[in-house]
Amino acid sequence: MRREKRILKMVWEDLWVGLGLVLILCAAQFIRSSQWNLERVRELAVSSFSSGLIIVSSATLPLMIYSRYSAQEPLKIFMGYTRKKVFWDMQLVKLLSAFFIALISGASVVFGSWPLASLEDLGMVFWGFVLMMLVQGITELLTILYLKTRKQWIALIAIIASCGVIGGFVGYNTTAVINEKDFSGIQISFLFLQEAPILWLMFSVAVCCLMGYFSWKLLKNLEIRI
Amino acid sequence: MQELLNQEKSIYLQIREMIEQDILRDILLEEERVPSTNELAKLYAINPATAAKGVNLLVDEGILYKKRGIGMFVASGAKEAIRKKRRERFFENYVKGMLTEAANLGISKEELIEMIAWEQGGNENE
Amino acid sequence: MSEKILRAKGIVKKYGKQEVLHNIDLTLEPGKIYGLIGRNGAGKTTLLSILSAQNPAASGEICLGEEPVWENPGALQHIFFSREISPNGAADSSGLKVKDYLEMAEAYLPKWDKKMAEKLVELFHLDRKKKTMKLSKGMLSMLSIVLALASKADFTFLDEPVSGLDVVAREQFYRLLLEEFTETGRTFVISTHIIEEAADLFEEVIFLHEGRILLKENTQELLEHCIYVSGRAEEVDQAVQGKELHHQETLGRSKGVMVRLREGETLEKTEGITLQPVNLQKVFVALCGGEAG
Repeated sequence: MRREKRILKMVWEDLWVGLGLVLILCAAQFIRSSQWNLERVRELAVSSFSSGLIIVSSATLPLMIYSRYSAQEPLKIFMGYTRKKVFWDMQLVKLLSAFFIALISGASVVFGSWPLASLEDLGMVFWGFVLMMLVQGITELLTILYLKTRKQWIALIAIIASCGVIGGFVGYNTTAVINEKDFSGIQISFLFLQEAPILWLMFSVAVCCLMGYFSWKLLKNLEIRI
Repeated sequence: MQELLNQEKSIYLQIREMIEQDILRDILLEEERVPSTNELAKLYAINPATAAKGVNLLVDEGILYKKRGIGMFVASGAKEAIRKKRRERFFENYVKGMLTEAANLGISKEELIEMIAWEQGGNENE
Repeated sequence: MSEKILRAKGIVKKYGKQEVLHNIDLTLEPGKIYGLIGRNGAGKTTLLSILSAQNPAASGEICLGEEPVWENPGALQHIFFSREISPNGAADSSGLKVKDYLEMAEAYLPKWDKKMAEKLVELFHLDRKKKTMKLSKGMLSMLSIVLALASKADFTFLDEPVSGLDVVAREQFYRLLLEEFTETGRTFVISTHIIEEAADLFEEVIFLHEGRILLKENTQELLEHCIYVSGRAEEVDQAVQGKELHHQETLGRSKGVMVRLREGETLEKTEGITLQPVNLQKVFVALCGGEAG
């Protein structure tokens, strides 16, 4: 399989893990609720696949990164693939996955508030993209750190954190389903970000680059033990 | 050829001796093809280079010759050449040791000759 | 097939403050089977992983031909280190199944021979669907053997390939190895503890002792140069004067010692002393046994 195909395959896997989970939650809500009409479907879909998708993916994407870096990627290096290629492949995967999820989320928002697409909501999607990049970057760094040092607690943090987020989200929405409340995701107000968007953006980019830098520094001389 | 290798001597020397033995016993006839080094290596589970070393000794001595692209063959006159070589080594390989051991045991020269005559005589009567 | 030479120059490896490999120089030529022999902890696995760019060295360089090997796909495609797959693998590799390894190999090893791999998997009765953490030690060894042989790499390294295998499986492996070698002439470096069994397979042996290469010699030549001398102590001493001695043992009036002859040296075969050949295992124990002399 050529390199590009491999990258796209990983992106595809990332998308489906997130989408799959959201779909399940969505379906659960739908089945639970007693209102079976088109309007309801639309509302549900929109709220699930806009903010819901982003929140869920912010947990599933890191999990994928952890799983890859701890099993598949070392095996690739073991078989002659360079660390450099592994790193850059992963950067591309992170970017594309976050991008496509943001795209789907954005499409959901547009679909939901058609024809009045709110710029604010789309802004949220953008920050969702940033969030996903940050979260993936942290997990990448932590996982590589774990590979380097083999200290169990690092892996534990990564797992617990993402499980915690998924668990919290699923739990919150399950109770919502049970109580027949709206699946609105968590309407965390990130409005403060809109006050100085450029600054926050630059800050996020800087953090991502910094994490990437340290990840590479740790990866480039990594010892492989399978 | 299917003898076992032992630890007494270098393997490649043993390979050489086995091939010589087979030639003497008419298991390998003159102008006949000898197993290749790879075949020997696989048969005895040894490195082909080691097998080659043994075979090459025989090539150097003219007992085997190489036919390009086909393999190793027993040279004509090989049997006689091996016999001659072994006769020259007979004293060194067998007699000397026998005499040393006899001396260790205090067996006299006369006793030795008696032993030989007795053994030979016994054989003739069979 | 590549005719390039794999060279290690000045390799130093540290773990923390401790230096485990001290200035190693090693040349591996194409078309040979090498035996890498050393005690536990001598550094065999470390050396092999550095040679194959699995681990970085603190200093020194590994080159294939003229090119450095580190992170160099052009060179790396010719080298494969099939190390022992541990059941409690690093991180989460233990969750991978046999077929995952095989699929990965097919995707990333450019010379992978799928037919051969399948034939070997069947021969060894490996269950493709089983996770590595559920495999026995013997099965894990067989998996790494499959990977090694089917990789068709010009330089293939095997680390203790027969650990966990019963004697019949070991013989099977030696046969497969020889067959592959005679057919392709690939270079194999095999590290092992079970010295005598494999000794006949090695064209050259490398003794690794406490992070240093003690010797690298043609096996047959080494064995020809090592002779065990025994007999009356005085006569033995006289015969071995000036020679390199190892592992002297005295019992009453008799003495036994292993002599390692240098180029051109000979031993006088006098009465009163017995000269015996020494097998590779005994040579190794004598030289690396850790005793003085």
